[in-house]
Amino acid sequence: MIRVILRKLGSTAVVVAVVAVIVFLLIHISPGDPAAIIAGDRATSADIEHIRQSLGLDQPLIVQFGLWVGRLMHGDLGVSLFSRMPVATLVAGRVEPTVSLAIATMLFAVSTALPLGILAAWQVGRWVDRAIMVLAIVAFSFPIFIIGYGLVWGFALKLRLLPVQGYTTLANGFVPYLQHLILPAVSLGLVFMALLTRMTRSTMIEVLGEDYIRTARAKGLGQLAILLRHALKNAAVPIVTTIGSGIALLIGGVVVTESVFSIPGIGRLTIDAVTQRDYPVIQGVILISSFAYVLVNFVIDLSYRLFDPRIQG
Amino acid sequence: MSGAAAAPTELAFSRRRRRLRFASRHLTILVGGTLLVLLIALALAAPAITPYDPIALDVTHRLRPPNAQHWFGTDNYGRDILSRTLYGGRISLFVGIAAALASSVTGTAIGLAAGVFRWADAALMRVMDGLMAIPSILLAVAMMTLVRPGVLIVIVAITIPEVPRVARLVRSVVLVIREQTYVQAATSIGTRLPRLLLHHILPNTLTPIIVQATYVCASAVLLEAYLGFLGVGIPPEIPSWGNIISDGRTYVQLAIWIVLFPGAFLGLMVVAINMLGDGVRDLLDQRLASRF
Repeated sequence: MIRVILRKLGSTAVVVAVVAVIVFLLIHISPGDPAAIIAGDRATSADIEHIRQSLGLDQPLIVQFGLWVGRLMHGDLGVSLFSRMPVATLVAGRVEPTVSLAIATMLFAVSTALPLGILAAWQVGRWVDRAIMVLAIVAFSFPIFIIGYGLVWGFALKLRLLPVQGYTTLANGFVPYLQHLILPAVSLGLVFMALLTRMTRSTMIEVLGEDYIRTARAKGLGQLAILLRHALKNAAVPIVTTIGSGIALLIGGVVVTESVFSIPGIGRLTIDAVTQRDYPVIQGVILISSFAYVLVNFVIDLSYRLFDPRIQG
Repeated sequence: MSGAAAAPTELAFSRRRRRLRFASRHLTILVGGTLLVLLIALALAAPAITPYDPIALDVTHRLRPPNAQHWFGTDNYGRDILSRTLYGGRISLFVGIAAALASSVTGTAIGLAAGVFRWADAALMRVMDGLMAIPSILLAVAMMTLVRPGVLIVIVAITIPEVPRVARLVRSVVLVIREQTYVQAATSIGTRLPRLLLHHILPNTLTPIIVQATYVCASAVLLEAYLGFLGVGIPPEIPSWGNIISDGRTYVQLAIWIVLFPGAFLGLMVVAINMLGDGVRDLLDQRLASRF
């Protein structure tokens, strides 16, 4: 078991290293002069030179890479070109709203997708199944901002049930905290829900065709017991894998959702950095979110090996 | 006499029933395909059917809600949203198809190389794993902040995050195919590598590649809109769906139609492409079709 964990850890470290190299190379392989682009159209040559120096672009490539990796190892993600604040500090100040949004989104998506997917698999080919599949394909296809603006228009502007946008910390009370999270979490969560519903449905259909399900039926077990205890348990691995790989979708969607709902999180930080072309901040956010993705999937992968004796090596 | 009369009606009946069964089985392909053809036709015919110039300013008719002259209303410069939406479809389609083609070709080349040349496999796949770990929107946004905006660079920025998905798929299919007896037979009679790749392996990977390409096309159309929405997409003077929606963001509470109509067209197009993808998958893969 220890050997398996160590080997998994090794391959995860390789992926992390590859991500770091890709992110580092991005600015070097882009055509034209990135320093001039970042400086903008009205910049003087002195401005451009200044940016080039603060990004370290005036040094040989290999020296730059060495310095960059060295700083990264110490948790130094660079300094913002505009606020002059360390990127790590800027991101740390924005973690709470983003993590709250991510957790609320996951809770919404998983708690709706599992029942819908199971129901569709049970009723496969009938109109309930068809309707759920149509819902899934629509939820998967409409962009987050259209769903978001639609929900704001309906629930906040017309019905006046929920706040239009913004964020309140948990310290200000649980009810306002939750009220501000509902619309963003639903907007962001629908894509995720669609993905999970489809995966749950197709895995459940496959499992429901197995012999042990027929045995369970023959024993006279109730439909619910068969669906939940026998089928869902055996369908768990692909479903949890989909949750893991969907994290990348979630992180990307956070940027758009925080923009629609003016939530002061990491996504908002990224958008502001994009408008100012504050490249070190964008680079830092990419690194942190990719590492988060790799870490989550490492934990998920490990958990199969711990909980499912069928998976070995 | 009566027997002869009964036969054709019975035949016609069963033929009709068979046609109905076909239609209900391939409902997704029919609905998706019809919707897509309709949207493509509207986009292609845009210059002929749009009532206004998509970039013509008309400050006397700013922010008008949908009415008889402007079916979809006007934006803050008085530009006609219907005309802009139809023209926007041309750009979104072009970007989507170009990104799907580019990522299919690149991803197939990488996947074939990884599946066939074992020495290249580990290195190529680790690079693909690394690319997969970076959320597509962030990767595309980062690339766009470093270059001057242009249609071509948007296509590149959308293509790169999609390449690893195609490469992984092709590699996994190749790994199965290379163990098949017909490939081993071909190898045993001394078939050279280029011929083996082109005549024996590639044709059998085409089905999954085509299905994957439709999904890539759908996500490329979405990604173009996200880039435009975040202000780093296609140059702002071109009326792409992302740009129209981005322009309308400031006026959401005042003039929701600026965002709503291009958004609805965008959503419908992605629905149509995804349905077509699902339908084609079921049609081409009979094993899957019989199970679902």
